[in-house]
Amino acid sequence: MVGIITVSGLVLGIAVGILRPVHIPAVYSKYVALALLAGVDSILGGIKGYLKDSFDATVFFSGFLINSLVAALLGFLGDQLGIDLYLAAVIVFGSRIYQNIAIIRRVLLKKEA
Amino acid sequence: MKPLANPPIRVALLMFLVVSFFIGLFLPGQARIIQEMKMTYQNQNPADLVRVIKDLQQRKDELLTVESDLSQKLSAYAEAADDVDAQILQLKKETVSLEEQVGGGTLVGPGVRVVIREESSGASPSILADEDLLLLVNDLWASGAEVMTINGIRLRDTTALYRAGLTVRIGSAATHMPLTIEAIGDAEDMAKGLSFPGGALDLLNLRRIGAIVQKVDLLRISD
Repeated sequence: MVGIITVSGLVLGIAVGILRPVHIPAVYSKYVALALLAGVDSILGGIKGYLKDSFDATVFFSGFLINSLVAALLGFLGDQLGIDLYLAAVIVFGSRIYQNIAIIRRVLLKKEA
Repeated sequence: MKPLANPPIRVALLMFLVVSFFIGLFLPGQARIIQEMKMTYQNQNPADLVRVIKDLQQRKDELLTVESDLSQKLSAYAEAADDVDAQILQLKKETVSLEEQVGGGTLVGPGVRVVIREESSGASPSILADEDLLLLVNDLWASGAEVMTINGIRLRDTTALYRAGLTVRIGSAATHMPLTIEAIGDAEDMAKGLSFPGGALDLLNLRRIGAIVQKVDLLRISD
């Protein structure tokens, strides 16, 4: 159920984004990409928590907002300092996305069994 | 009253819906900006840029040759100023040259065919403006087009192009959308000249006007 809702929201968002495009200035595109990565990580974390009956709405929503913001700020700070700090966010969120997907897969497989 | 550890299932699902909606909302914009960034000079294939620079240098050399020819012509006029026969001969030569330029007969050769279609459906249909067409035609001339037609109507150095309602006026002739532009010249150079970042095709894409560029081995353009 949660998967269907998430995919529906995503498809709805993409449809609205195509019909009413959100203009993203080129200079901020890297930060938006990081924020989106953090958002995907939060969603997968939320699905994992939901499937394991440990979902907490406050943690989920605050995690989505704070992680997205911090990821974008990290990228911005890295640009100001001349360091590729955004790579830290990419590695952390990337590996967490993999971990969450693996856990979701295991939980779903156990439920099927 | 002690709060519930977990929110009702509907609240949780609503949160998933809202968060995934916002992620989805930004994805097309982000994808679009990344595509646009790929089109900038910094992200161009160096081999393409070298080719364009070489083409421009070749064009510059050709223009220098034309300048030299014109200087010689000027000298010939000056020398023939007192000689009527020489003047007539010079004018005849000039006439032949001008006839070649405006095209007296049928010309064949490789080139490009550009088909332009307006988007007439949807909430905001796209309309080809005068300046879009002029930019496209001028880009073709600049990329080495030797002769050109729009829907079979031959373009000359002084041909005026403008929109008049649904009609496209080409000099004294009139035609309608879609437009098929045929240009004889170096097809590779012309295709490259049109697809250059910030060029005519970029502008047409921005205005949601479809333009298909096709290289043609043998085009036939008659007067």
